[in-house]
Amino acid sequence: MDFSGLNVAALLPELLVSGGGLLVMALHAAFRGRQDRQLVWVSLASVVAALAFCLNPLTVEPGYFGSALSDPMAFAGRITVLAALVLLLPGGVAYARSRNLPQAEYLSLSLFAATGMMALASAGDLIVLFLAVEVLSISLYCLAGLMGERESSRQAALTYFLAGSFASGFLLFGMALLSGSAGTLDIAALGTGLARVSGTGTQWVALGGVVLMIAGLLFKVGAVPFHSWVAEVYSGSPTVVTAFMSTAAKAAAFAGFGRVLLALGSVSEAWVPLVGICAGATMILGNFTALVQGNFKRMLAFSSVAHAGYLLLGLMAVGAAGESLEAVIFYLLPYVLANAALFLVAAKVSQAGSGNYKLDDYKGLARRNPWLAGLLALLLLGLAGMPPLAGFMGKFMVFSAAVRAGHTGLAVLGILTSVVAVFTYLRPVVYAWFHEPEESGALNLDGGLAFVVWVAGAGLLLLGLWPRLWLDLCAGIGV
Amino acid sequence: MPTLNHYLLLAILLFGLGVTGVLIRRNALVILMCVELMLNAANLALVAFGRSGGSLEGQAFAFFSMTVAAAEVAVGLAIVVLIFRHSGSTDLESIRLVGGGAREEQ
Amino acid sequence: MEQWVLTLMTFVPLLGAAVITFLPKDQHNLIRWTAAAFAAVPLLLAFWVWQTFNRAGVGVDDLAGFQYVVKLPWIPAYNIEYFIGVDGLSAPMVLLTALLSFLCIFASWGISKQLKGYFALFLLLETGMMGTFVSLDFILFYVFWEVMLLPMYFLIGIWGGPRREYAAIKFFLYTLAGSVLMLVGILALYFQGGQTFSLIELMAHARDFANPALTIFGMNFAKVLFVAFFIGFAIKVPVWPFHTWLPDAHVEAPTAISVILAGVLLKMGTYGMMRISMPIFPGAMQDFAFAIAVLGVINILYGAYCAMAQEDLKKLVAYSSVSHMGYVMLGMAALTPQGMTGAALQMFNHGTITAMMFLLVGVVYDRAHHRQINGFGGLGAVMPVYTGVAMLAFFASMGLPGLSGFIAEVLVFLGAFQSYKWLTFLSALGIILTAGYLLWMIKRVFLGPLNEKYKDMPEINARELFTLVPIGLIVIYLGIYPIPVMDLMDGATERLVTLVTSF
Repeated sequence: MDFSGLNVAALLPELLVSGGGLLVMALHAAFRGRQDRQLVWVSLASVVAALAFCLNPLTVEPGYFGSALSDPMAFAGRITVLAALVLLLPGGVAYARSRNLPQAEYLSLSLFAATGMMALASAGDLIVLFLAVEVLSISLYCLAGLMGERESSRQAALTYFLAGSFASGFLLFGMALLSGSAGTLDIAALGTGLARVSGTGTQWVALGGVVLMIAGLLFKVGAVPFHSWVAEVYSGSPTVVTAFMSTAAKAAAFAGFGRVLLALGSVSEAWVPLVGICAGATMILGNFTALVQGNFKRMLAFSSVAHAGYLLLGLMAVGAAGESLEAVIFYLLPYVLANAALFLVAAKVSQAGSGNYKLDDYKGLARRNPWLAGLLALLLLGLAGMPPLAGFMGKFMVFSAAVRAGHTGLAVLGILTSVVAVFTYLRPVVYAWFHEPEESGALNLDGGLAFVVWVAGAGLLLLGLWPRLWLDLCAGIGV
Repeated sequence: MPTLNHYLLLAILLFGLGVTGVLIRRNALVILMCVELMLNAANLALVAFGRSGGSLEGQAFAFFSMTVAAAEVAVGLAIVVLIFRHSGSTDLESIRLVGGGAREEQ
Repeated sequence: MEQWVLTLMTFVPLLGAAVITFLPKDQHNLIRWTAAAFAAVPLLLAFWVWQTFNRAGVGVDDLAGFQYVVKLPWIPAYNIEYFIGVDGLSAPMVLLTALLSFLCIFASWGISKQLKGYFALFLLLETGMMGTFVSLDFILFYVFWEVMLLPMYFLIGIWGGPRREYAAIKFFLYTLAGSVLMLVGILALYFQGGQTFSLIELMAHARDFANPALTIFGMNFAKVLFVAFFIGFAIKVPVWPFHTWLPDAHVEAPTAISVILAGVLLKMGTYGMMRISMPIFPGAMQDFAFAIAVLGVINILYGAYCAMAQEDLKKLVAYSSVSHMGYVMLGMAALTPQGMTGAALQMFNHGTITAMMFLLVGVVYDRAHHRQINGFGGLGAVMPVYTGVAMLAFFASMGLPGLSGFIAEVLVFLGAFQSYKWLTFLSALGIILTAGYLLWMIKRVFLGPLNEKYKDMPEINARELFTLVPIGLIVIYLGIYPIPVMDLMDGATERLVTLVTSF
């Protein structure tokens, strides 16, 4: 047998990160938990090594006989996930420490979840896709329940598990019908496989599979009408885990979603209306629900539903032109940077204030820490898509993909709802800058959080002013 | 002689049964079992397709999905046990009642 | 080397903003003078541009007529460029922006709260305004347009009056709603116009856009987009019925910010119509010209009528802006060379005159801490110098011959009369109303019996005079000899009219 197609190097990022996770577990056991403070460095080392590999790949050939791809999409998706980890791990460990959560478990589970996410972005066939989804989901179920002492965390874990495994059922059954009727497991070959059966009875089985798969994926990304789990899971999970779910997990899910839809371009008339309706409903519902929240964490949760709507709009355009996928992947990085940092800021501000994420905690923040208040404004406006921040470029690309594909009406809807979003995001800014503080005294950031906030803010500005930094890495996606 | 269509029909029926169960039952354990039913319906379809298409891909996929399902059940049961220890019930309604309004903070 | 002058003008204030954030918080004078120094650079450069500007160049849709052009790729994947330059339409605006920004630094001397933040945001605002006027790439234009929004929002929201939060949000959402409409339009143009964002190249595609077979949402492409852009710009002008944010924003904003708002930001609306709507959709402009003229007349009359009813001096000036921007709309819609030149000149002149009026209101507000017209009386006796300067500004606003407002209004009427006789006649009523509300206000504030409360009101001081006198001199000079500014814009306005009428 010829093993040249194995090309293990193609999976190097996944191997590095999952190896890091295993090492963390082993070290935790070997030192009986006495050296847990150092584990974050081990984790970060594996993440940075993987990131370095993704930026300078050793190989651009697929691995495992085509199951693990090394195309621009795989690298861009992995970089997005790893960027989220770089931001979240330092802040997350500080969070875990301050709330007496098991650090080693937090780190290793995060790394395992990240392995799944990266594999999802680089999946070449349906088996890998399914395995990746499950690896990330199962790790996240555990992470959601990490704060098992708390009612809310247990509740979130159960809801997330039930919703997630239900969605997995749809996904797997859809895959079975689709791959069976197309006669292949290779994602890229699904289109030609479907073309072979078009006009026969098998076509209907295949289309049923497409619809079920899309439903499963919509569930995973938390889009309307499968969004009901989002509020409970996002607000109940430990905040760093919520941040992880709403950034890296969502990014990976969209990468996988995009790959599937790209392959199904030949039957786009079957799924474009479906995805379009969900995109429109998600944008409207997400933005308006976020608008009325008085709780910062819930507001971010619903705003991430709204962002799923914009991303779906981009995916919908993939039906007309594959290059549109580039816009979706571009959008994800600024979104991930801003959201990850904001969740961590939320945890900090809440801990120093009411303890339950009330928006009122932000009153007078500018007096207590002007730099933090300034960066908060920058991050929120970046998320809102104000130029010259990177969020604008993301929105611009997604909307232009939609207009190019002829979905001008939905693009207008998207742009109008993004005005609602600006209003939502401005509320904490107004509280921070225009109101007097309820408590006096400076609010100082520890080193880890300061790093996260500055890196995210600088990243948003830099990618907005010089989008080519990220655009060049995304070039070639979907063609 | 049963054909591919018979197996598919059975798989669809099983899947529908599973979905219905998840939607109407309120006991976490029963829901878990219904999810298993959905996954196994998919396995049946995979194997049936693999057998009729003459390739081993479907069977291979089924092996993977069985492993995954086992892992998923392990974690799921752990979560259910955790809940049961605190609330003494696996019924979603009563779990939610215990939860009350305090599901916001962390 | 010299083509970088516009880039310098745009980004030196930004550099200043960055420098200011690193200055020590309690060194108030250092912060103020640093801001002034960084605002002086664009002013000097703007003078230089004004001096060296080649009056023979035409511009608008002809790249050769643009000066100090820089064209560099920015985001090649989308054909987005760093493409800037000035022509006769933008050069006066650039001069106005640099002048008012510099003077407003001195008008902000009295700000005591969070000085660093104020001046940093102010300079950021200047970058946004400059960038908007020099951009020739649509995305670049949009980016600067939005960049301007945020500092303005914070400047009103943090340093404003009692209802500042409401006013700031209202300003922000109105303008944002307008600009997002624009974004859809920009994208639609991009895909119909050969995938370019260059305004010049888009103008070359005007015939393609006007193709009646081209539709969007089942309606004529050019008309729908024209209306979308028009609404985006009209909110900024502000055209009735989108004007309601303006009085709120003006009343709450600190003096210097009101000056910038009325002096520069409002002009962006009409500038956008001239730079973008008219040359890209000449056909639609012809179709909608009458409607725009009607809106202009409504602005003139409604603004003047509202101004008459105001008790608050600043609100009166704010509504007078609504009224005066109506002349710009009317002159533009006339589609005659005189009308267009009048409109462009009115943009410049109104920028200077209204700036003076807001500065003057600021002077009494700083002393009396209120702006009630009926709360004063006989100020002419206690503050003769102030009153003298005030008379100059108010008479210029009324359009008195010999002052700059007159020339622009006459040109607008001359131009408009050729196209719309009855509308011009109606709008002439605006002059009477303007004279009415201003004279009535002058009577109540400056004449009549002295209000005893203010018998010791201190006279206008040297710093305040320093902000007012240069503008006052410009108003007088351009009233007598308007050529130095008119010859900047003549070629461009004529070209613009030909572009639309010959389509």
